[in-house]
Amino acid sequence: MDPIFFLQLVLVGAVRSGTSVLYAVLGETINEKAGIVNLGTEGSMLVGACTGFIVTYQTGNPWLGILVAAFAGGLLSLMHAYLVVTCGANQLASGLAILFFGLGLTALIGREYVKLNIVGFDPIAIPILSKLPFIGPILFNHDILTYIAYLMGPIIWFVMFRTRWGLALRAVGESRSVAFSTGRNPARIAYIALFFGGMLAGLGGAQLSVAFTHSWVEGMTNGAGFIAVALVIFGMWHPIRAIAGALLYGGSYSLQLKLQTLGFGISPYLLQMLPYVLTLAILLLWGQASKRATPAELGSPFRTSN
Amino acid sequence: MATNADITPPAAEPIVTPPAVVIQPVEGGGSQLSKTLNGIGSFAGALLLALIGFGIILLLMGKNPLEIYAQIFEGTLGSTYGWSEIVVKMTPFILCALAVAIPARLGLINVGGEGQIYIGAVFASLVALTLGDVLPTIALIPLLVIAGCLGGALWGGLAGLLKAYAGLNETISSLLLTYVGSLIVDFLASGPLKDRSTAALGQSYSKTFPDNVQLPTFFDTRINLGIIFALIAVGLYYWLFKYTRWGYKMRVVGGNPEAALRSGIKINRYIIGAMMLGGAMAGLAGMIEVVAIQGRLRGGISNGYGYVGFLVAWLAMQKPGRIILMAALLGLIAFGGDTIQIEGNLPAASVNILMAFILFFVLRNQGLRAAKES
Amino acid sequence: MAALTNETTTKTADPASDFIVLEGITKQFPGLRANDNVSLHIRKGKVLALLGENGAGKSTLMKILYGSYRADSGTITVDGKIVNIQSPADAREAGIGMVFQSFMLIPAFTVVENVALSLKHLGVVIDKAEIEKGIREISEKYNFGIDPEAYVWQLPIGAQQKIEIIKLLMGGAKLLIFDEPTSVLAPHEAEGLFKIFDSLRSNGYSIIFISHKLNEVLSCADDITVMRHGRVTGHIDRADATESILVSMIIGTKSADSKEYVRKPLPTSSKPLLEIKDITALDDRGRMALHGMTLSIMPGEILGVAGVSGNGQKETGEAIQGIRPTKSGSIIFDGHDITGWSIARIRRLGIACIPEDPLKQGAVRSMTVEENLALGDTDENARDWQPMDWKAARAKAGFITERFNLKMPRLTVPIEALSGGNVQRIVFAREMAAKAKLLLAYYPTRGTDINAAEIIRTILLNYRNEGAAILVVSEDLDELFSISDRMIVMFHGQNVGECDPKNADINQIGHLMTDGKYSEQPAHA
Repeated sequence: MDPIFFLQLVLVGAVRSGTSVLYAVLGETINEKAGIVNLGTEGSMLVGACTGFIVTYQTGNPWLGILVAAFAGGLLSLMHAYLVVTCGANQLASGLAILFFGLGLTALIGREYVKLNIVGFDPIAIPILSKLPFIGPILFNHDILTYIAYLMGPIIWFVMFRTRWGLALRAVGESRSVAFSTGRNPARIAYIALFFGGMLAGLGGAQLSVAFTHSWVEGMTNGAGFIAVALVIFGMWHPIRAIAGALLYGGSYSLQLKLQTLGFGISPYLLQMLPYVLTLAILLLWGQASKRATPAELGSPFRTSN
Repeated sequence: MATNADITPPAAEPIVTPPAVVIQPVEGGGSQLSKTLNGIGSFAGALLLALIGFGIILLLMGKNPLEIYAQIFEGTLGSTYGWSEIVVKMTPFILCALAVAIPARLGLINVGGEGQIYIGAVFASLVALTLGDVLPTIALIPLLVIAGCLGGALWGGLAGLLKAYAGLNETISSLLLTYVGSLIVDFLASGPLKDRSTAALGQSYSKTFPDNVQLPTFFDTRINLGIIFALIAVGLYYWLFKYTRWGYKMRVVGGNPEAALRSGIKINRYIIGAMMLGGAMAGLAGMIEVVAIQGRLRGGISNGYGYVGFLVAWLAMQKPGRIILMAALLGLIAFGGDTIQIEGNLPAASVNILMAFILFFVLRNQGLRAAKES
Repeated sequence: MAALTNETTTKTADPASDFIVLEGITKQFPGLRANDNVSLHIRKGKVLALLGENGAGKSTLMKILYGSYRADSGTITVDGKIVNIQSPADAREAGIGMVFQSFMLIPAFTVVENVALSLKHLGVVIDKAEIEKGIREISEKYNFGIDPEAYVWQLPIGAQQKIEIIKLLMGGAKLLIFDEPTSVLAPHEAEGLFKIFDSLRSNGYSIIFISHKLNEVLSCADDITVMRHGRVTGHIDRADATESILVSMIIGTKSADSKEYVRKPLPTSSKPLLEIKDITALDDRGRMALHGMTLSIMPGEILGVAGVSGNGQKETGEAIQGIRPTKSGSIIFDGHDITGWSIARIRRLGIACIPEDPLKQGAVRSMTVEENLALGDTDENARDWQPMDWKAARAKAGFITERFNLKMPRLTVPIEALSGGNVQRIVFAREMAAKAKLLLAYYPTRGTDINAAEIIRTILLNYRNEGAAILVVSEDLDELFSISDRMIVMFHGQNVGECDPKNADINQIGHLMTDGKYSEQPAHA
């Protein structure tokens, strides 16, 4: 096969399989910037995938589907907010509880929708741009949710680093007491952050069911939410670098698929390790810098007094 | 401690006689019994609320919750088979809870139990596949235990090593290593260790282990030696932290690393040690899973045991007795899921809702209590 | 004592220049009247020093003024109008700002971001250029030299304090409250701060300066108010104040002269117990902290180490204990070259330490008294799987009773239930019970009241008389003069001079402490 064409195929796949995770990574980046890690991201994705599919199936309107998906993902995330922020529970344990809730709930409400099909979002080729050589198909022939995902990165970056809201969000993640002393309400900000984070994860799940596969299967996210948590670290808590993380994940996944079809002897699983091994390597190489990038309050229990 | 021979008894009278003061604790804090009763009451309340919560969801799905609960009860506690399956399910939960609890006593958070299970399983499988034909069961069992523990200890110890010498957060590294661990199993089961026989065409798993590779079972059920290992491990855990210098030093490190360092405790050694020991527990669970349950190495064997173990440890607040109780409860719920799948025509995963509700209410109480104390 | 005025006699202040007046402030805590009918006048463009020991009620009063607490009774008047301050936001609204001891800064943020965070009126999209301009203006006006783009973690403490001032000024504060601002500063930085006070004052700002260091108060204040036991014991003009007047206002009685302790003669040994030769070591930030540090301690003597903190005292002690690796030089203790030995091995050889912060560095909050007493028990013959020797640990509780005359009722109480002072005593007793040949005592009386400090000094002296050598690091020169057999001064990671405390010249020591050199002119010329 022509190597350039092969590369193009891999990159198209990278964008395709990276989109769902990208939403989740962006959402988790927002959560963690507010100092809260949410292992329940996987749960929010599942809830999004399931409700998005059901609503689209029932109404035939994928837009309504993803709207409900985002809302459902956000709601599930609010359970985490309640436990972690209001009750001051351990973040990791609470996140896992949320994950299991999402797993169970979607298995239950989605059981009658397995093996059904919907007309969801299809790829939209953007005129002219999609005809560009090489990069056209890579960047400009995707479903609408993919385009939105990639716009989301810069938007979140802008809000996070250039606005009052972003400043407050990051302040809460760095020092709740400083945020409080400057007249902010860390608990409320954390709730809002978790709701938005959950919405994005819900959208990520819906992208999988409504745009990518047009179907629902129990547990269909298959650990993507956990992967997102790892990729947030790869992206060093930065929304633009999060895109790189999602592409790396999508790329290694798509590369192994393409290599497999070519009958190469490399095990797909070794390639799939790439994002995690790279993240570990980055953490080791950047030692100090990576520590500074970590929000200082990340994982520390919330106390109403601060 | 060598005493200095030159030191003579006090020569001078104290110039200032300090006033006699009795050190009094600032707060008294209730008797042990009332605390225990409170704990039980609060847990019972959480359990009840969880049953109600799950019940409401079942009602909304058009199911009769009482019927479902009856099915779960009968399927689990209503038969010997049910009891035995609870024991089988709780074995990995106990071990994975220990994998979390041991490092937690040092203030380390090991969320990588899942990965440590996989590597423990790999090591055990290597022993099984290479020596299974050569050695008798009685000789294989200790080797399998050692291999499983070693594999898990390696994976947990790696996170400990990164923490000790590179300052890498163990939560992050153990989580990342989990993916690597499970992918290593996928890789081995589809590559180097794959069963190449025609019967296994298109399947990704190793050859079935030789017959000698097994853990003795009891009472004609699937209950196997694994539960004994798990209970011994809990006893070991209790003894370690209650009675040994090792446990004491670990608790000092957990309570105040700087004071530990200054008092001469080699912190890094204990960080790595605790992560290795925790990993070994999970690795043992991995060995039990491949040897006693699966009989071969394949991908996805863990099925979230590592995460459930994390929750068990948290529900039990790292206390040894409670770890067994909570593992049994979650074992019951997990097997209850299998029951209602068959009898109630509900997905087995639905019971995760019940488990999540229990966690939800327990974590809520724990968090609120901690907030009140601080 | 004509300058002393009692709180009942009102101060003859010009009401026109009073900016803020606190009148009759009372605050009751359970079992403690923290402020009892306290009045305070803050003049426009003046520095008011608030003096008093720990627990005198200064902080409570300032927290009331800043809105963190609410007074049970009393009024606060700003510019002649009574204001109702219920929260820090109200205080800021009234032009009152506070610089806390621990800064309210986010290290991972830039200066601009930290300042933006503190601004009341902030657009949705942050106008960075505008804020940067404001920072630069203030920075230039007061000669701060702050780079708005720098991250706070990159800046030294002194610069961070300046950011706090910038925040207050940009927030429109007219009164700046500084809570013990010099406690975190090196002496030259403290002087810089007083210069800033000067320029702030000349620009019409009022300042409240909380301190318990007399020389600082005398060097920068216009008015001085002294508090004791929750009451104001007096107001005094700077012009009328002297150290001895202030001391008597603070402690209520005239300060006694430096105390003479009973001293057992030193053993006649010519061989030092500890000999440090030319060691170099890095500090926590990786900068060179010890530049060829040399010292020796004879058996049974108290060696006082004078110096402004941050000149390598901490690193020296950590090097001796094996906590901090040395780059070069040697440490000989009791005939052994212990350079590079492990901490546990050095402890076993007979070196104990009362750390600078016993709660943080020497105790475990979540553990019981008994378990804390066992800390540092290193028995060569015990293996890790063997049980601890709890009997030995419990025996140390006897030391507490014996030395401090404190009775320990239950050893199974977690120490988090005890007061900080008692935890400090537990650590003290534990380290002394180790019967070490050398005890390192870091700031042993810091944060204790005068009585407790005296008890601690007596205990150290008794310990010395029992034959142990002690290295005392302290910032309190009087303390060092009274307890040391010999003194050295540390400056910039070196031993810059040695003296006999009996006939030491305090001026010379001051010079050594501040610039590492003897004064060129003899002090009594």
